[in-house]
Amino acid sequence: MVQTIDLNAALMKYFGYQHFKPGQKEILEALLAQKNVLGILPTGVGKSLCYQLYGYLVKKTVVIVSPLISLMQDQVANLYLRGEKKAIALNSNLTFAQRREILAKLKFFRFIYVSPELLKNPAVLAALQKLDLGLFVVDEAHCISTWGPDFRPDYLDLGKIRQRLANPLTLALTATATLKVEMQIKQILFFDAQTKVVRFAVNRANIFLDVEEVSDEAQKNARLLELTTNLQGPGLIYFSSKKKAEEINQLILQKSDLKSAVYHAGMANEDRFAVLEQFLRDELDIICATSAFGMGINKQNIRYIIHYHLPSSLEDYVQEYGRCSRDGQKGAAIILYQDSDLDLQKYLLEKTFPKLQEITYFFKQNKVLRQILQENPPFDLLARYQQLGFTQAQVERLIKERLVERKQALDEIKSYLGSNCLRKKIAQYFGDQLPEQANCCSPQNETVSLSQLGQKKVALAKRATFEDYQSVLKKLFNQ
Amino acid sequence: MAENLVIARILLYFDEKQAHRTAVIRQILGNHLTMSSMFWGMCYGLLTETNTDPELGQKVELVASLAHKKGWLKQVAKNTYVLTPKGADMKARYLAEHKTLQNPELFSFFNYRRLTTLLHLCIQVASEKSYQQAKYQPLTLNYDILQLFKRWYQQTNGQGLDHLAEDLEQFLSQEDTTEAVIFAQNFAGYHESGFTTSQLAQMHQLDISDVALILRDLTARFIFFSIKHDPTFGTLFKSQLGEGLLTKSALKSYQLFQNGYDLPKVAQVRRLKLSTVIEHILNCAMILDDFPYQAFLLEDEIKLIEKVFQGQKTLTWNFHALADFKLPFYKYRLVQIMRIKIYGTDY
Repeated sequence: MVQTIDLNAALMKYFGYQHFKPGQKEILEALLAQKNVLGILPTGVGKSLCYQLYGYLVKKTVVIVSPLISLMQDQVANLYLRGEKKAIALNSNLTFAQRREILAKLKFFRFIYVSPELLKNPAVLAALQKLDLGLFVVDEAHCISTWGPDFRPDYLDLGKIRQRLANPLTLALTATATLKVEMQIKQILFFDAQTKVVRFAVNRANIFLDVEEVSDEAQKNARLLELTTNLQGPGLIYFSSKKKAEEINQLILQKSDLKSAVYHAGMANEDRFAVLEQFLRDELDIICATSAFGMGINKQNIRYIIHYHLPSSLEDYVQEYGRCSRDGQKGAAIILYQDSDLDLQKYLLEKTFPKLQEITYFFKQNKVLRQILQENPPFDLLARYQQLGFTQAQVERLIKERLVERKQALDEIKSYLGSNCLRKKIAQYFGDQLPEQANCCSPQNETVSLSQLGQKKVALAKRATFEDYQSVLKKLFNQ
Repeated sequence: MAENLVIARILLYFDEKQAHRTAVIRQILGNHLTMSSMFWGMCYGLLTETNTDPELGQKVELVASLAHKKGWLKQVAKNTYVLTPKGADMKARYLAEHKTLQNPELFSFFNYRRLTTLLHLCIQVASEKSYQQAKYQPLTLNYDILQLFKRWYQQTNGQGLDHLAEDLEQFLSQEDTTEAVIFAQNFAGYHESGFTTSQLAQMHQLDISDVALILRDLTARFIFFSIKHDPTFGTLFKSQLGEGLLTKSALKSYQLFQNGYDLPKVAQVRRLKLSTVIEHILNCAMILDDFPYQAFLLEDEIKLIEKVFQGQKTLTWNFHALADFKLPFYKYRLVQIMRIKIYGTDY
C-alpha cells in the first residue's frame, strides 16, 4: 500500500501523470522488491517510464542496452525534452576520444544507453563496473532470441555481461515475444525462477486492422491517395526504400492539398529535425518514412499507419503499427499490397544474407583483408560473428537457420494477409488470449468503409509563414 | 527536372578547351586533396571550389557519364571530358538562371556540415532563451558539438548568444530579400520547427538545388561575418576553422627555408621526411602569390626544362621526358606552376 502511494506520487512528481498504464506498476513493484523482470508490453504503453521512474526512485545509475542508434537517440532526446540532461548514448557514432571523455565522467550520468557491441569493449565494461548500478535494462529484448527474426548476435553475451557487472537487478523489455522467445530471453539472461514476467497481450483494441490487395502500383497509389485525403490524420506511411518514400511523398504533394514530408536516414540532420518537430506539432498531415522512423518518438495522436511495402515479420508489423493512436482513440493499421510485394521482400531478404561462397571467401582471408572486406555488407555481419568467436561452420549453420527463420517470418506475413480474422491471427502468433470485439478488422476479401477506418478528415490548423526575414527573426527571438 | 539540374551543375567544373579528369574534381569538391589533385585543380581553375560540394563530389563519375549521354560532355580519355558546344550553352544557361556560391573559397576553411549544425544549435538555444525556456529537445545529439557549444557558452558566462539576433539582422539586411527569408525560415527555435530544403523550395517556387545552395552560401558567409563582427559569438566558429589550402605545417617549412635552412635541414629540424617538406614547398608555390621560384630553381634548370618541352603547352608535359637529366620531380613541377601562374594554362 505504502509503495503504491509512493509510486503514484512519484509518477506525478517526475512525469506529471496521474495514472499508470497497464503493466507499468506491476513492473515497478517487482523491481522495488528486487526481482528481475521480463516486461512484455504492447507498444505505446510506456516501457521506458518503468526504468526511468525506477532510476529516480532509487537515485542510482540505470544502464540501458539498446540495439539501434536511432532508438537510443530518440530516447535521449525525449529525456532532454523533459529537462533531464544526465543522459548519454554510447554507440559507434562516438569517436575514440569522445568515448574516452564520456567514460571518464560516466558516474555523472543518470541514464546510460549503450549498444550491445560497445558493452563488450573492455574500457566500457571497466567503467560500468565502477558504477553503483541501480538497474540494468535490456531494451528490445526479443533481439536475444535466435528464434526471432530480429536476432542480434551481440545480444547473446548479455547474460555473461550481467555476471561481469555483478548481476545487477535487471529489467528486460519487449513489445513482442512468443512463448519460445520468452523462454530464450530468460535463459540467456540467467533469469531464475524468481523472475517476474509481466505480460500483456499485444492486441491494441483501438486500432482497426485492414489488409487490401491491389492489382498493381497504379491502383495502390490511387487507393493510397483516397485513404490519405479522406482519413483524419496525422498518418504515417511506411516504405522499404528511401527512394519510394520520396517518390510517394512527391505524389501526395502534387495530387492533394495534404502537408506531407519524407523522413529517412539520408536527410540532413536539420531537415530531419524540422520534419520531426512539424510532425510532433501537428503541422504535417503525413510522414512518408522508412521503418527506423519514430521508434522512440512519443506522439499520441497518429491516427493511421499505412504499410506501402510489406513488413518483414509480424513482430516488426506490431511494433510499427503500435505507434498508432497511443492516446486510446480510434485508429487504423492498413497494409496495401500487390502480389509482387512478397517477391520483393524475398529478394531483399536473400540480398541481406551472405551466400555460402561469401562466407567461405571471408574466412579464407587473412586479418588485413578481412578488415578491408568488413567495411561493406554482407562481410560486416560475418566480421561481427567472427569477433564473437563463431567458427566458419557455426556461421554457415547460423546463417542458414536465420534465413529459414526470416523466410518463416515472411510466411507468417503471407498467412496474415490471407487470414479471415487479422486480429486473431496476431493473437495466436503471440500466444495471447483474445476477447471478441466490435470493429475488429477487414481481411483482404472484405470491403471496408472509410468510416470503419477512421474519422472524417478535418483540416490542419494553418501554420503561420512570414514574407520577410525581419518577421521571422522577430518571432524566433521574441522581439 | 531536379536530376537534369544536377547533371547541368556538373558542367560548371568542365571546360571547352581543357580536358578535366573526374578524379580531380571529385577530390576537390570533397576536400580530399593530394599534391597532384591540388596541382591539377589549380590548372583547371577550380581550387576555389575546394570542399564546396562533397555530395556531388561522391558521384562525379556517374553524373559526368550522364552529362556525356546527353551530349553535354565529350569523353577524350577514361573519366576525362571536355564540354561540347551544346554543353557550353547549357553551362551558360545554368549560370544565368541558377544560384552559385558567392564565396566558394570560404569552404576550404571549415567542415560545412559540422558548422551548419552548430549554427542551427546556437539559433535554437538563443530562441529558446529569448522565451526563457530551458526544457527542449536540442536539434542535435552529436556529443562533440554539444560539448563544444557547452564549453564555449560557459566561457562567455551565458552571454555568447546575446547579439546573435542583431548579427543576423545586420547580415541579412545586405542580402537578396528572397534568400534572406529562406535562410531565416530554415532555423528551428521556440515553437518554430524550421522548414526543410524541400519545403522551402516549394514555398518559394524554386528548385531544390538552388535552395540548398542559397542555404550553403549564406551559412558560410554568415559564419565569416560573425567572426569578423561579433567578437564573442565569432570565437565559437573561429575556433573551428581549419587551415584552408595552405597548411600551417607547409607554411612552417617554408618559413624555415626563408630563414636560411635548406630543405634537408628543414626536414631534420622538423623531424619530417624530406619528401614531406618538398610537398610543403609545392603547396606554398601553388597557393602563395609571391613565391620565390629562383630560390629553388637554378636558371640552367629552368632553361633545360623549357628546352626539353619547347613547343608544348605546359599542361601537356610529361616528366618522363626528363628521365635522362636526373632532375627531381619537384623542380619540374615548380617550373610548371611558375609558368601556369605567369602565362596561364593555354601556354
